[in-house]
Amino acid sequence: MPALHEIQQSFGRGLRSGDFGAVAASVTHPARLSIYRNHFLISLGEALAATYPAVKAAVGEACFSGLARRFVLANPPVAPVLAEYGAEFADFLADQAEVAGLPYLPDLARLEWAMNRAAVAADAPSVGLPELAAIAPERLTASRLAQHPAIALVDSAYPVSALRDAVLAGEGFDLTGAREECLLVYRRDGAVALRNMDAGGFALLRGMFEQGRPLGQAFEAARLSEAELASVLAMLGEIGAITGVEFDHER
Amino acid sequence: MRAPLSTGVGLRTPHSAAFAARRPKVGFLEIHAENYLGGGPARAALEDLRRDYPLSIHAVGLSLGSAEGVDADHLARVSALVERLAPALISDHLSWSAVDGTYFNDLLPLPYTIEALRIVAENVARVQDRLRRRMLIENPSRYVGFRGAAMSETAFLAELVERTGCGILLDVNNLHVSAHNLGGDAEAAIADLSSAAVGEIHLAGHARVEADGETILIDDHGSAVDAAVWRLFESAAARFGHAPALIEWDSNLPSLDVLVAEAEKADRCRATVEARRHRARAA
Repeated sequence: MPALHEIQQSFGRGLRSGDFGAVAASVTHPARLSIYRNHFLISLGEALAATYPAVKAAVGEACFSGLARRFVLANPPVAPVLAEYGAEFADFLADQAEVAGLPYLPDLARLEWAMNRAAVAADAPSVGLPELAAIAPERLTASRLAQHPAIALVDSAYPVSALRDAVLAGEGFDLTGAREECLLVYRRDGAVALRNMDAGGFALLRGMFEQGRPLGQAFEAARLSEAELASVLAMLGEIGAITGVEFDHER
Repeated sequence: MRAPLSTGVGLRTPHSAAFAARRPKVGFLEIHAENYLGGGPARAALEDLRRDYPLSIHAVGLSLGSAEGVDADHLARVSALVERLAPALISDHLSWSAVDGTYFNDLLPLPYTIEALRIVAENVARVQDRLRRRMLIENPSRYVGFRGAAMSETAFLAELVERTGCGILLDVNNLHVSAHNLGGDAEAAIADLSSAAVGEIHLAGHARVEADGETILIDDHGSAVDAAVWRLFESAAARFGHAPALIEWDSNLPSLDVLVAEAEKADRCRATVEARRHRARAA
């Protein structure tokens, strides 16, 4: 019998390609190897369906299972936590001619991924509004605000949150006159929530959370008024989006 | 001998709210480690239930049969969960799930060879060292065997126990499924296993599929426990009366009442076996 590592490598290639090669000669019932291949493809397709229910509802069951199968073959999991599987699905959908007629689909997938991550992100104590308010303004503008692990930013040329609600409810959606959307995804009292942001506030959050800029720099780049900044900070404090305030000179 | 825990059930997310609201009487709850490595509401619900139920952590992704060894990052995460939840039992399977950087989300079969025994023993020892706990290793459902295997599954498990000090999670449904699919004697396997090594018993439903003119049993955990598996459970309960039992149900989930009733059925079965044993002793 070949060494265990060779058997496992050959088995793994078989699960991905359907050709079990040398393993077929080593096992008692080679025809049944397809049971393992079907389980690999179907169980991971089900995991994707659990993460992307709105994408599935938008394209229909049969189309989704075909997309999922191709995705699993192209991007199999690298680790055993299924809630963390499927990050590349939105980019994959953007390349599929079959769903090119649904141009919002990749953004819908991005939103579902962000919500899925928010649901299982690590717990972390947050910095409340009174604590933020107690910091001198010039120190605060020089600081970097650390985001809660559940926070994500999703923007789209389409109204993806309304689209998501509609497809999950089995309703049609009229895209004429539809507007872009900037969404803050967060978790509050154990539930994933969405908040619509205007473009300026969203640019501030991008600067702070995605580009890691100090608050003052992100504020200037976003071209907000002082009052708008105060209102975004109040909102972040209220929803528990900030978990730390880092001062450069204290690093 | 200390009385065993009454029969537990696998905790699945759709039942979480009903569990929290009603706290049905079951012996313990078993979770899949891989479903609770993050935070958020699922984790919070578990922390709450943990105050009322003993917990068993059943891992499905350590891939103890991997020739490449156990993934250090995954082991670190499972270890942190074990430390946090301090479960009564910890287990994973006699199988492998990953190779060349791909995780296949399945409990893939091992050839029962001397080489595989050395590899599994090293992996189990590494996990036990990290967790600083004895773990239980479960016999998997198998659809293929390997030509040229050096020993039976029972002998492989016995040797693994000898080398690592681990225990055995005897899944009587898997035993039945594998015996049917590969030809084997499940009753004989129960008689061969060391009583001291078996630390937990699993019960679950399976599906029958007809393919290429043969009937294959598939371990889908999607129905009530089959009559043939209940008969095996009686034999297992007679030999391993100290080991707690658990009902697993993962697909076509029933209501919580039906799940709890299945656990009660297992308790009644054990009580009958126990009474029979007392009568035999008295006679």
